[in-house]
Amino acid sequence: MIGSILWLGIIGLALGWEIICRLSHNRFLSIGRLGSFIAIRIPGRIALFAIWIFIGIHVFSRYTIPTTWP
Amino acid sequence: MIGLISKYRHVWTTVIVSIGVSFYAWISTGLKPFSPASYISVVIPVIILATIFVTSAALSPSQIKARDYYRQQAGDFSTKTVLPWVIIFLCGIGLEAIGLVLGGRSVVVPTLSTMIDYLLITHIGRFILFLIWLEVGWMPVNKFINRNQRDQL
Repeated sequence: MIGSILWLGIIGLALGWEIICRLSHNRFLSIGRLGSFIAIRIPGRIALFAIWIFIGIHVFSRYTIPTTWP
Repeated sequence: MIGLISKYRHVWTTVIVSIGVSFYAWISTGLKPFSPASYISVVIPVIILATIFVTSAALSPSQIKARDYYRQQAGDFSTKTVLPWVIIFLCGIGLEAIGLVLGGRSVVVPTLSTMIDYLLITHIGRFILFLIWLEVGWMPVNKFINRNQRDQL
């Protein structure tokens, strides 16, 4: 329960900070700009692509519905 | 009629592609997890995106267009402005590590995957998340391609 609240807090914090960044007209670094910074070099682009693939496979091919847990 | 179709060609293409992608996402998220079909359904968009990514020269080391584009998109920033994201990521990694140490499906501290599993219970939840995942992968590549096309005109 505590962990779930903390996760929601972290997700809320990330979303809130992203909104602040977007409203600040580039004064603060948004997640999109951070991604662009990582993507400047080819290894960075490959790493971002690999993370995207991992999320896709992990979330959509290897998920477990909580009600079917043993 | 033909004039009307060609006038709104871009709109028609977007509508048809959106319907096609939504249909694919709906079918894909209805497949049984851990089945070969579910893996293939995720790999297909990965292959399509990788092909577009490579053919748009974003991975070619000989050109500097992609590097310049992403540098321009990132803009100037100090290391101080990265700090909030570093703190958020570290908090996430820390909580994930605690969740994994507790067995991964702990009720006290679940992992992020376990949290997301609750959003995957319904087909519509999986469908929406799948569309978001596709959009997150497609958006930066699409922006880069659009910029390339505009520069060539």
